[in-house]
Amino acid sequence: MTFDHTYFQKNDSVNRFLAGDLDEEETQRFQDHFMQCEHCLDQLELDQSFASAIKAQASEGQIAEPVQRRNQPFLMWAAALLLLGNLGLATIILRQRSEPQAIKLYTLIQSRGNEENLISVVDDDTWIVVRQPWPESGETFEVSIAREHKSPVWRKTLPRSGDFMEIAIPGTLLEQATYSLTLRDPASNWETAYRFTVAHQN
Amino acid sequence: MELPELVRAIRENLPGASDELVKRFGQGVRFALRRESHRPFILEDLFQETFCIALEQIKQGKLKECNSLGSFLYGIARLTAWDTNRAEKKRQDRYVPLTSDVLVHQDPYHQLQRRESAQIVRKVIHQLTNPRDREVIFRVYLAEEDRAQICQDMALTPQQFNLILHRARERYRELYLQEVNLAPT
Repeated sequence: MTFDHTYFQKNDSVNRFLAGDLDEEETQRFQDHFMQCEHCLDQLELDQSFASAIKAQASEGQIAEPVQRRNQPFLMWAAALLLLGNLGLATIILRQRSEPQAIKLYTLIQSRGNEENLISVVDDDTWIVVRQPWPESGETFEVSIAREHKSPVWRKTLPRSGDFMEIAIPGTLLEQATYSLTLRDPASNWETAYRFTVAHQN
Repeated sequence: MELPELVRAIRENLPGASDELVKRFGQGVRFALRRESHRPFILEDLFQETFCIALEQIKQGKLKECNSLGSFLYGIARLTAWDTNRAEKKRQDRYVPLTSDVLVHQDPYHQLQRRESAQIVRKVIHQLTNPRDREVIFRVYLAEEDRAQICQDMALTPQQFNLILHRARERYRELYLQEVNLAPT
């Protein structure tokens, strides 16, 4: 028996590999093959992407529902946001556009006194976005989100890349509360913070 | 260049040998890392690390069978991904985690556009007018049932079963490519 491309195609090895149905020997032989086979890799990547997309839809409970394509208003809005961002931090302005069936982006502004960013989370397409120019120096930064006067609920390290650091958080992941999102360079103690309050509207 | 020759060239540090390795197996290693890693935005770091480890191990003689270079590299990619998954989990376990869905990325719009692929699949499912086809998709990808069992339950031949999956995937590919071509740069 020759374990060549024809063999693997005939035996549906792509699907069986992704489903974990191959035994140990078949798995190794198929890996030996596909790691150099563009055709098999394209099939694997497509099926992997398709399976992930279906599971993502199922987890949102919407897989049976046909939905109008919603991303075009969002993409136009994203382009506008990038243009605004080029004017610098001081002029990043909180904008909210609420269009039927459009993704809603809340861009946080810097905390000043009692000003707050009020985030009204309506559905799964509400996102909280931070877009911050990098400081002059520093290579690695820490991002953390904490409830007021409490320990961080989440923390991440962000290496410098491009002109801006950009963070997007799905609104549905945060409980109703007031939070502080802090960006910090541990090497120089540079730090900046955004204060925001999440309210769920459902 | 046959695999035994490539392995020999790597062990002897011949010029171009490591480049040849990356060129031949780069796509495969990327697929392995995307499949195994929970941190897609450090893919390039993991990619570099995988090949560094692989070259070192090949030079140390740890590759026993030259023609198994593909599975050897897949195994290194998987372990590299798992190590970073574990390290990240340990770090996040120190805090109350939100969820792995929280995105911290240099390009959040790229991440949001990835969600579009999930919306595309809705269209694909909607276009499956035959309830039998929808049931096959659900049972394969969501319930992750055994394929032979699905065929038996639904009185499908393997060819019919594969054709249903093939049609759905090809439609997904067409719609996905349309979306990519329409998205502004």
